[in-house]
Amino acid sequence: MNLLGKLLILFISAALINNIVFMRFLALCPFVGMSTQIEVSLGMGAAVTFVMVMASVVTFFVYYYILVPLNLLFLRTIAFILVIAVLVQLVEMVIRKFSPNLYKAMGIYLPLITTNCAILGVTLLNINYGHNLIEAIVYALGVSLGFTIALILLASIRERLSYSDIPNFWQGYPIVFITAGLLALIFLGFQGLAH
Amino acid sequence: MKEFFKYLINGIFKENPVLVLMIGLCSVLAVSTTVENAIGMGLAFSFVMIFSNLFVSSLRPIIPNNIRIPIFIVVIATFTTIVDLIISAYFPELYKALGIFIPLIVVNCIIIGRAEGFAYKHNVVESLADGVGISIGYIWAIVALGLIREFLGSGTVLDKVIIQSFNPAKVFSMPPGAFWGIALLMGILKWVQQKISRR
Amino acid sequence: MKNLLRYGLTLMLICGIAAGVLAFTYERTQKIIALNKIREKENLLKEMLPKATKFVMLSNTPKANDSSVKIHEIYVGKNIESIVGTVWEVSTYGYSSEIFLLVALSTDKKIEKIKILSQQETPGLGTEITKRDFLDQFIGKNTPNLEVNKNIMPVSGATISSSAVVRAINEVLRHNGL
Repeated sequence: MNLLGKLLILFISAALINNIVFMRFLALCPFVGMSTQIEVSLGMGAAVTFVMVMASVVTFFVYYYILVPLNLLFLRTIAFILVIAVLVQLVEMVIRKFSPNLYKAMGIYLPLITTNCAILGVTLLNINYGHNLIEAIVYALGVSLGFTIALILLASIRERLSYSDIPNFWQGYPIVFITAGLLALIFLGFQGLAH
Repeated sequence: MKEFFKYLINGIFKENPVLVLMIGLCSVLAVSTTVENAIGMGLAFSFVMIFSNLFVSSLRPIIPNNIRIPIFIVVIATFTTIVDLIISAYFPELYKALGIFIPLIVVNCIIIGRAEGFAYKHNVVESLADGVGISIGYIWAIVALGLIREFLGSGTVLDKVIIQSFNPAKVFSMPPGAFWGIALLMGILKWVQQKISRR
Repeated sequence: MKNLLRYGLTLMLICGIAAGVLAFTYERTQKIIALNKIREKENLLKEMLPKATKFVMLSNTPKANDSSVKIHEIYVGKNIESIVGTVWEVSTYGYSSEIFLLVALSTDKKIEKIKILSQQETPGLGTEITKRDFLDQFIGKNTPNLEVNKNIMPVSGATISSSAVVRAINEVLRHNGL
């Protein structure tokens, strides 16, 4: 298999087969909280994509050029989370300064991203899977596409759910989770797609 | 003393982090495939939760307000790494089953939420009560989900067959079952609450 | 400015303490973690070749003929300097995941035991390849002519997963001149 084919498989498997929300259960807080309207979902998806790719690149260098040479692997978690927190702060400041429009679109989601476990999860998985820099970027892109797809799917169903007649104690979050379970069942069908 | 119990009970039902506040769901859904994993995850979480609350509340006077968040993160990350190392040294089997979800305790919204919302404003004893209460709330939710999923998904509880003729539906051990299980728990809790408040 | 200095110092102090505590815990646990890993590997190999008392890893592993199979490690099991068999760690791609397996060969190049180390195949179908019913069919085989539905019964509903295991085992048998 050539390089491009490998990257494509990595991308598709990150987005669909091992969908971050439905198969790996990461980023559930924004998945439930931010999926009320399609527009909001798109904003959140864009913000996550941006931060996730940047975090993957920065933690790649932190891990292989600082932690590994210094033999400080046990500081991995603490170093990564600090890098992500600082990165989110920086991104927020830069966007606010240079592009007020973009800030309006994704600014409110940025502070929420520090505790979005998908970001830390992806940076840790990049290390676990031994991805190189290009693979790490492609993987981050695939994962955030998968996250955005999941968010939009749920948001579009929830927009309709708000008009349906649901038994009293299933209203609110329980019905959202039942919907999410059905979506997860659909995503199970993507297993084996890459081969 | 009365206050102590008030805060302790608060986390178990009224502000149950998982089923009512709806935060920190990731690890709950991912790890609850079996009761055993659920208990392991619950204990790892409790360790970080209680110690983070204790430290944040006792360091309260010396933490400058403007940089409190980074300090919380460092405190939580430290305890998470300690748990990570201890489990990997003494419980290698559990370490494999929990995988990436041990380091991810650090971004569990419950812990940082309690540090910011509770421990930073209360004294050490109250924060201890809150930490223990929230931990119990987390443990019962994840173990209950583990019970549902292990029983419906593989027909066993703690690896023991309970009902011989029961034919398990594998889908409950798989990701969709996690979503359905938590929806079921939430629905039941809501139903019970409505029954109680109607009286 | 004064505040900035205070913040910096407080943060540095806390990070310093954190790093110190972690270094201490790491120092304490690291040896146990390393020991666990070695013991785990040894137990696994012992399970594969119970007769052996000592395992030596071969430094050069041969290249696989089948490009979809990877040969990772080969261990020679010894009992007081006499060789009692070899254990091969190989992997290949199944239906939805890479399947890792251990294959134990006796001195007369027959399959002694097979164990699936890790896989993430479809639960309930592909995962059945880890069961004895399927794996025990391979015991005693010594020629790389195994084929699904011919001399090996596949797991029903999981032909791709089963063929992957067969492919990996054929590859091991092909090298039996080692």
